[in-house]
Amino acid sequence: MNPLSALDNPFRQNIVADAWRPAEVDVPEIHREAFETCDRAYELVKSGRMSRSVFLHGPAGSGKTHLLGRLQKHLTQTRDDLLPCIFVSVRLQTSPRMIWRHVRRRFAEDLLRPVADGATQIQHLIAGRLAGMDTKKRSTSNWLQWVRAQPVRKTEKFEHNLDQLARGAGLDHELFQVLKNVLLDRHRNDARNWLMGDNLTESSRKELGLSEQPPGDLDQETLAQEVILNLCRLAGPGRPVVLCFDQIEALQSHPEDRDGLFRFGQVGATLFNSTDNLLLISCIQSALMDNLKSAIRDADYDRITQEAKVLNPLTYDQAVRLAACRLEAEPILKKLRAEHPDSPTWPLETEEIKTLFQSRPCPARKVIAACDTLFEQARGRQVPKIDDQTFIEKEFQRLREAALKQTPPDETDENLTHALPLLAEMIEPTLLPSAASSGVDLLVGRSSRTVGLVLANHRNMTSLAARLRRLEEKPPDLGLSRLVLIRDSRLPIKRTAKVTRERLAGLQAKGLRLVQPSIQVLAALKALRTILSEAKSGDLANAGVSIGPKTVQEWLAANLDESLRVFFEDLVGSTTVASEKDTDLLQDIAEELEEHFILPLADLDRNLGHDSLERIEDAVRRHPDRFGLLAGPPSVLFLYAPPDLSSGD
Amino acid sequence: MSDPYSDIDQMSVRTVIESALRRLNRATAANTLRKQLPRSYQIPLEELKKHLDELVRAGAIHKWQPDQTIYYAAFDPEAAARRQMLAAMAGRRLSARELAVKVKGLPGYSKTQKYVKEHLKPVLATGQAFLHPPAGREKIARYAIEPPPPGPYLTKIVKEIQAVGLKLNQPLETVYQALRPMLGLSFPKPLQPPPPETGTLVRSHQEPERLILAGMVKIEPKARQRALVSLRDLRRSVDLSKEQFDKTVLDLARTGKVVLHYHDYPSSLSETEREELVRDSLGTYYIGIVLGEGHESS
Repeated sequence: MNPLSALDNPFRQNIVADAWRPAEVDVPEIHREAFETCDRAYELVKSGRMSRSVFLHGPAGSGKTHLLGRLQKHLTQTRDDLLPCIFVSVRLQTSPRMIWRHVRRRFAEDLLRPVADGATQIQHLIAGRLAGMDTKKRSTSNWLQWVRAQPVRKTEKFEHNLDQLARGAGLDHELFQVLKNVLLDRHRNDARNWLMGDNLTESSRKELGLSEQPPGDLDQETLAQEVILNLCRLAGPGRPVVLCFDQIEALQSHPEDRDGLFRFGQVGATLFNSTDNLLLISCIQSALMDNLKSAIRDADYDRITQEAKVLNPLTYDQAVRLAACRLEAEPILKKLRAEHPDSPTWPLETEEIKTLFQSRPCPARKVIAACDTLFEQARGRQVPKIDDQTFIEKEFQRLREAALKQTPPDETDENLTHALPLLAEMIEPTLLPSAASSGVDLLVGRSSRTVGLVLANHRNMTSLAARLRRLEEKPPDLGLSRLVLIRDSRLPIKRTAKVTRERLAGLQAKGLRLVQPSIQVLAALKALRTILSEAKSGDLANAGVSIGPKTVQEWLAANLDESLRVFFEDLVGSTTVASEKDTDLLQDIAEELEEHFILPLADLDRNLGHDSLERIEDAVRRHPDRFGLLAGPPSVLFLYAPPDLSSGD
Repeated sequence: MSDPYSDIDQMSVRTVIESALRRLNRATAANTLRKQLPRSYQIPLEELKKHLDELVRAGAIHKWQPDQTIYYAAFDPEAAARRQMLAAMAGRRLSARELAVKVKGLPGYSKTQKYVKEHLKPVLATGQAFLHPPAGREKIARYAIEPPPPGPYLTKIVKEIQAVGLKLNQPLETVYQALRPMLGLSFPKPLQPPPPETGTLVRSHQEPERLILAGMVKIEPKARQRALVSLRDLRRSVDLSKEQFDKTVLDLARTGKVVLHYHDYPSSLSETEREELVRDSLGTYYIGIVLGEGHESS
């Protein structure tokens, strides 16, 4: 029997998707120069009390995210219980119009992420700040224990200290209130959702000690920017915030799109100018360098590229070293390899690795993918080659299934804002520039017909009512042929929200169309934008070779998910959908089923106070993507969940 | 008596309205528009307004309402105003009031500056034009296609820096040297003159190499710290033929003096764009060049 048969293939992982999940095996010599540049810049931020920036270029698969992972591992190691920095990694898979909100979400996620010692970054941050204020000079370690203590052990003194800290750091009131909840472990989910920028219900806001309605009518992008700058300020002097931007390419909706890169430049420069403890690291493919330079302002470019380093393709020697390190990391393999001291890459033929370098420079990912095949061959197995089309199909399915499980309604605005222009570009490349200032979130045009899209995925009914009031009072004057309001079907408008329902009905009577995409549609949209973002960033690779966005776009256009085509037609098509007469009834059914999941038809009818079982049955049958009906007797209704959602726990 | 207009096909009325608006090429009130229509199409005003509203709803024409009166236009008022303002800004810095006057074809536009500010927002956000805040004796902000030159905004600071030099009895150069790192700027190494050749004549192939290596540092000072340099920009800055440039770049890569970065999806580029890159004998297109390890001081 081949001794390699029972072993795991050490080359299976060839993509590092996230800086927080670095590769298990790392070869420090590879890209050492870029790593040291980042580390030096970090030290300068720490000692110099001024923000710095590093820009990293490299071909697809050269190891940009791998390097960020190495840096994360290095910088988030606690020393004497002290986390020396706050590390945040942002993959820019978003619409340029939501870039600050996207960064806020990722920032919050990473702040609440536990590091090596199990405490979250935010706990470390607060402990460090409290220790700095302590007149009795108790150590950070002591404060960390206090911060991590169970809520019952926390005292009024704790709240008093937090008050002092908030005042010292000039924190925004809402942010301070939410952080207090996080640290006292109260209303954990609501506090987390607020930090991520979600629109909270009135009751959730009340629980957190906030006013029931979000303050004023602030632009959400400005609000997100303020929260991020507040959090950087809270980290305080001496504790750098390391903010890494990856997949900048994904901000472009098409190769000539300059807006996404321009806005990225603005965001980077704003962060740089408004902080004194930030290390900004941005990664981009070499191929995009020219576009980036021409798209962003020189002043912004200077701020985000104080240091510029490249991640070169590997040399042959580096490739051999990389292969050897991965092989050595497997203990049994290491033993076997000891019997072949003359072959540095046993069981792989070193000469085979050499052939990789005959055509053109070889990035790390391609080396690993080639070694993966060689390893399988060495143990007598063949690696089936799959063509790019099949690979894209499988990847799209995988992403869609993952999205079915992980696409909360709070992400719907971002999902639609990012994905709809991509979908429109694919179906009909006629998307017009956005018109956010005119009360419309997106404009989609078809020949002489222009449709205005309003995103209304608020959980807070007061906010939603206010948005509808603005539409009523000042309808967008853009010569629209239609106005469409999109609301996630998982967000029913409750019966208690009478004003909201009345306003919606009034607007519908004036011609507004309500479209409520199902989770299947939203998951397909998320998969679409993810796979395109991965392709644009060079991270969609079949056997180590990147598949370009054009190939993916062509595949998607030819195999477009039927639910997406129907959804798009629903938005821009000229046909009239008849189901809108039952809007209120559908909202009622959804509200009841959100609460009970499953209900006999008769019970539901009673709860709703309606007198027509047939009407309910009819409405449910017309929406099989949202509700299910078991004929009975007795007839039972349930909230429909796609198979992959319901197969979980 | 039967309605004299009943036999006019509704579609042809709309076509005539659209055509009249296109011909007028300005936002026009319904009653003015009516007079401009052929006699047989001069339908009652109320009916005309219904057709106009229908055309607006269909996205065929646009509405413009700066005050009580509603005007109609064949063009998008916002886009047209933006276009005219951008044209007016060519080579000039204009205030909002001056810009408002420049917009033609939209009645009421020049009466207020609110439209200028609203319509310029996306133009400013995408860097097509820039706000020039008041500087020196100027009291009002202006707009221009070029970004504001920092000079006029630095007058006061320059005086303060000069005062520091005087106070410390130090030359301004010393103050400047201290200022650069405080502003987060690194010192680019001054471009070195080519090393003096010893003895023999320079071999002809060394000249293009020298030009390319010096050109890299010239267009990107951070190239010495091994930053990536665009081959497209480098080609434009070096006086070499395409063949000579491509050959020299590939030779430099072969000898390890530089490392080349390839384009992953050259098929996404136009033929002209590809021509600006460097292509090797195997068909790989290179987009960037970086000094090789140990050749930083080349």
